[in-house]
Amino acid sequence: MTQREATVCNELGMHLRSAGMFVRTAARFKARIRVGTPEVAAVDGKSILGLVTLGAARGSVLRIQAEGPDEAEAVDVLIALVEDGFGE
Amino acid sequence: MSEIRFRGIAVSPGIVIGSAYVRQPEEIVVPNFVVDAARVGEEIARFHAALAKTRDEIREIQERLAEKMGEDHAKIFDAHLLILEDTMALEDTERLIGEQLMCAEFAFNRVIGRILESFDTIGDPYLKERRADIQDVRRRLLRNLTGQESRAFGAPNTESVIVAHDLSPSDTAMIDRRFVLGIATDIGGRTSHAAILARSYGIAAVVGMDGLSTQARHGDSLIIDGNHGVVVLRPTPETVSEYEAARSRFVEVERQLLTLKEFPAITLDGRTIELSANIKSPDDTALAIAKGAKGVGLYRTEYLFLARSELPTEDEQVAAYSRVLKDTAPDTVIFRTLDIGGDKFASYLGSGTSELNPFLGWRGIRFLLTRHDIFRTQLRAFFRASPSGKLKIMFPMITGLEEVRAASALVEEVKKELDEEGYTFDHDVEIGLMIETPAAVAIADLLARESDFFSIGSNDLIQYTLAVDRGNARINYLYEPMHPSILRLIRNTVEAGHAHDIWVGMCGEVAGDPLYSVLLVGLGLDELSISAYMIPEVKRIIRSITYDEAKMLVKRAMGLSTGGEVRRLVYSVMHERFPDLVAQDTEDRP
Repeated sequence: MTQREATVCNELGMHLRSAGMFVRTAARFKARIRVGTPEVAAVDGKSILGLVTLGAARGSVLRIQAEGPDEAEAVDVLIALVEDGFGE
Repeated sequence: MSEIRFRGIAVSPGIVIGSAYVRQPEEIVVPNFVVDAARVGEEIARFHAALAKTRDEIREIQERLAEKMGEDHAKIFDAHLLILEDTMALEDTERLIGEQLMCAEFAFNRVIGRILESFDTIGDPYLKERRADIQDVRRRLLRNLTGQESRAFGAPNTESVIVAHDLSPSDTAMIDRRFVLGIATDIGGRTSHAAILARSYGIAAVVGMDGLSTQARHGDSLIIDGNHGVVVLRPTPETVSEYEAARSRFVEVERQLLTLKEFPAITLDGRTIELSANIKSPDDTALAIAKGAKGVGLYRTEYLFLARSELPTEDEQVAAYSRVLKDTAPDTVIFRTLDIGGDKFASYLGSGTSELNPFLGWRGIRFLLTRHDIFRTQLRAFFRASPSGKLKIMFPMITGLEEVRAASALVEEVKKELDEEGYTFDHDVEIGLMIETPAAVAIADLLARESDFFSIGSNDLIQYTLAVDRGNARINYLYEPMHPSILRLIRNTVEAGHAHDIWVGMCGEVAGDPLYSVLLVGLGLDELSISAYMIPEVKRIIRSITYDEAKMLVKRAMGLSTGGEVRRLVYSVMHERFPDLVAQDTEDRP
């Protein structure tokens, strides 16, 4: 399993649209992906409804875990997405 | 019956008096029946058919909304579509149908209900509001499952004021602009759909008034004051005439603002200020021009580089830049070279959040001078686009002359290269500098000798001078644009520029705040580049003052010793001079 942390840096936090981008990106990988915060237990990283319930505002730390053949790349790409502020 | 006053959040300006169209929340009766174990497959198929129908509906709304409110807002429905594909929700629903023999409506409602419950613990108000989107999708799917007709907002067909608990994205898509005078809701904030809709339609709106929609009845008379965040339900005749007067004053101001569109920003005694707009994408140009901007004073080109995984190609950049130039011609567009770093990162560029202090780190011109590949491509694209209009170039985050010289040398190299390749382009593009560090101000006389113009970046200049991070709640009270140090730095920059015959402008939030307009004119700035939304108001102020009176205000302000004193002076002068000063915020659009 590969796991790393990233800080949510876009102004509005991980809202519906940014969670949507995360899900679309995660769906490109075979690996099982879980996302959690220090406060909230990990949810399925391919579920938009799971991700929005994290309530990850700007400054929240997201822990991204992946397990599967392409886990390393999945974590790299998803961390980059979060650090880019979901491209906002 | 006596009138009732509500105080809420003013989210879209304007004053309106009208009759209420009360939007009751659509209640869907959720059936609860047991599925015959032999018919589980059929029940799941019924669920999937409703999902498909819902997806089609959402796509249709999305198209309609894209026309009404722009592509960007319609994107929220992409997320709605993802909710309908959410494997967690779909699998849980199917499991409840298959294992517990619940009917599809009851099963789905329960799954979504559990998700909504977990929103209760979310603290962030904006993220909490996204609950409305999930409820919207739930309602739509349940309606399709039960075969209930959509009341499709029954939408008012005579001019009305909409009163609702909240407006869902679907509601906003149904509203006919011709019949809506204003919007008032029980809950919500600046970013709720009702607020976004009202601003894009230019109608008054106040949100966040607990109990309003339950106390208002269809046809009640209602006043919305979107300037002050007040709603008066069933107003007395005295209140009505009071607001009618306020309304005509406001309408008159608005009318005057619009008539100013074609006029220059010139003081009564003849000093012209170039009043231009800040943009971040080619799509923003139309609005800037509609608001009466004289060209673009700051094109933040970095937005073309963000939100993607690889660099935009030279041709792609040429296309984007040409479009901006063409749309703005014959007026000028000032292109700021890629300003990455600080608070804007793109991991594929290698600019990292790993820096301990990104605002003092690898950003602006520093980044470009170590990434010649990126810098050179952008410069080539600028020049190749130059025949489409009038282009100027500006470098960000300058602290010393070496940077200016290195960047200018690269410009010359690129021009030579393009000449050799046979391109036609403007050889006399002006090159300017962003003045946003105290160092740049201190050597402004030296910089002025080797550049064609200055543009003061007020946000960074204030943050670096006062050593304050505006995002830090403990100390952001120190962020004071009226601090005497800031006024002196602006004055010094203007004087140094004018002594060397170059013009000096300002971009950044301070430039666009009408409260400061007189002071900035008095400081001798030649250009202000601001949010398109603020142009009419700032222009009105400039056109109603004299340069002499502005210089007088500066003289008085310069005689004071603290930011607080200057602020109080500016406030009192501005409110006396412009009692109807429209307090608008410069917050960015959604």
